[in-house]
Amino acid sequence: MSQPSQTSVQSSETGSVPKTLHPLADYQHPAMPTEETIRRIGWKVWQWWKTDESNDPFIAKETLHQADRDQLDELVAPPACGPLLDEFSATFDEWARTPRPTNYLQLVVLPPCDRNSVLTTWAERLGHEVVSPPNRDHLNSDNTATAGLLESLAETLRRESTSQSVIVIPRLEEWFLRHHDGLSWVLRLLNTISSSKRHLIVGCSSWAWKFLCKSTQAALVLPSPVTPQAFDCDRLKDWLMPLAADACDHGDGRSSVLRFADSGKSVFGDDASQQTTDKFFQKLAGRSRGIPWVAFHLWRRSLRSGPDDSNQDQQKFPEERTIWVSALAQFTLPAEEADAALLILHSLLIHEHLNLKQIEQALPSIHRGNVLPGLTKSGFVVRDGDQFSCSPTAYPSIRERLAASGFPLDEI
Amino acid sequence: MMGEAEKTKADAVKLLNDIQDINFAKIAIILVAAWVIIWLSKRLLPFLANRGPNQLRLYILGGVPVIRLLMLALAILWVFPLIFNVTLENFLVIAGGASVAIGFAFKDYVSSLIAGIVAVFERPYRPGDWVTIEGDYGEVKSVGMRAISLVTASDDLITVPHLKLWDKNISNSNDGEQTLMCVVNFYLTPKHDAEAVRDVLRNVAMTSPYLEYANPVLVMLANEPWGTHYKVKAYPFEMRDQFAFISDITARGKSALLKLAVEEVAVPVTVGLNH
Repeated sequence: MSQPSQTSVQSSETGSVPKTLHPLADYQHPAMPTEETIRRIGWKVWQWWKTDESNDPFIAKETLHQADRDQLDELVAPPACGPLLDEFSATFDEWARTPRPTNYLQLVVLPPCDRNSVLTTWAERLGHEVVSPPNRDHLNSDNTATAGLLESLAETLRRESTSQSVIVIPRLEEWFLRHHDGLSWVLRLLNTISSSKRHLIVGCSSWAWKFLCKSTQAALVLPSPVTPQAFDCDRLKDWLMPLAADACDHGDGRSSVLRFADSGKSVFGDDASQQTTDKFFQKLAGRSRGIPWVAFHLWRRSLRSGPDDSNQDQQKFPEERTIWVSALAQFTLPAEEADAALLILHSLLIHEHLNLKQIEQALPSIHRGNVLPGLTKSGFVVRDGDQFSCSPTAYPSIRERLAASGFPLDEI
Repeated sequence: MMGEAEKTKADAVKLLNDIQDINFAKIAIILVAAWVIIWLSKRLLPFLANRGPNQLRLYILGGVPVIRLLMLALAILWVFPLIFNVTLENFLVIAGGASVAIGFAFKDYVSSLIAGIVAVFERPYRPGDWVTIEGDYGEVKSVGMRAISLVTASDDLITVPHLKLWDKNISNSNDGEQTLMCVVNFYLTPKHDAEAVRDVLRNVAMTSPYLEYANPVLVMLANEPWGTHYKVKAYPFEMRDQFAFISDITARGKSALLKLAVEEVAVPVTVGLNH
């Protein structure tokens, strides 16, 4: 999986009081604006009847094309989400300094699709000890390397610490495979950490946590999960806008201007466009369910460049380099083999990422055909080496479809 | 005075309104409107139920028989006084005549219709429920006036009259809920580590992709003269996946048992043929 970018770890929120993690049960995702909710219901009804959406934008969609990866990296580098790092510090710094806390174990339940592993980034920045997960291919066997890893962890946890260092297990979801042979190591891990005499923070994705609560009763060992507060409109603006504004300034006197494709108004512009900007970020917060990296990828995907220099007559602002912000992406799952597709997507969310062999093990013996390549091609699944995971951009659509089909859902 | 009394008496014994007083156009409009609403609800509600969220499916489907009953009752109450001269005497005459006709010719039919009305209120089955009636197990596709339609796992359509409601057991597996319990059987030879088998079968069910998290997973066992009978009881999140769920637990349970070197019991072919 990709490593977090050091250049983008700098961002922190404006305001004096840093936010702290909240109990998982209190998580409230930002509401979608009513107007947008009605529009999306209308869009869904439209989809039923297979009719194309049509509108009259400021600039024709056909003349724009999705900005390429280099352009996007230049404009909005992949983030490690600075505000969340501050949130972790604000929550755990005092606890880490307490020599004998009432609870040595802390559980952080994180939203899915965290490809930069924000908890690992935070732990490494503060010099905490990070426990690497075992190789998932060896989880359903008596692997000596995994056994050794657990023994050394058990030994460390038995000793009372003399320093303030914290042990961090950042991805509990990588300790199991949803297979009848794939739960033994996570059970042993939970058993080991239950008697910890060291400060220990366990990170787990919200989907994996839901599964582990059912299959291993993990909530009995880690009873009070906390989770980051949702990124609402203001929080998203505070985080994304300085990042994008810095990136737009090329330093050589040239700068890019971000404009909404449907109105032509500048995203960081004057007061006149403030309402449009607020509305966009409100939609972004609602659509992303307050998950920062999902919001980031949706925002990134909404950026368009063009028209090309060859289409001078269609240039709206010839004197500037314009990056257009188009409508947020909507994904529609193909109706064909939808059941198999949903089973694969649900499995990927629970494990965060899997290779082909592990997908085979985690799924029933259903006819999968070319469903996985199809999902990859249509943007629901991303491939990184031999690992497949759900695309953060498609996550809101995936969750909606899973919910509509009755799948067990996470709490975020 | 005498003339008026005779007129009242004559009106009382007159069963039907005068033909020139009956508004046939109005009757036709009422009947057509009721039929259109019933037809629309039968088409539109299942369409919406299959495309909307699964959680609302049963509620939407359940609206079809209720709308039909309401429309029929409304149409009859509206049309009846347009045709008949409604008085107590006439009511007794019509009821008497109808009783004879029903008693001799349409007893079962009318009994089914009445049972259909009772079924709307008692709800022993609703569209979308999975029921067993006289050995036939299937999903209730529609609840008609006289009968219900069941679709079995083999995709057979079975029509069952509501009449069965009076004297037959109706077993409803989900009773309006979104899920139902599935039972997967394993028959094992007696000599094995029951604790280990129980753990493995529990993990098999717990790791099934079809599992509903809100309900418990149970593994029951009982000693039988031929060996040990294990029952894995669990709930799928979507009851239409029940056969896929059972197949998944069976397939993965078998491979897990194979790994534990536990043998399954099989009835000898000769015994099976003889009995």
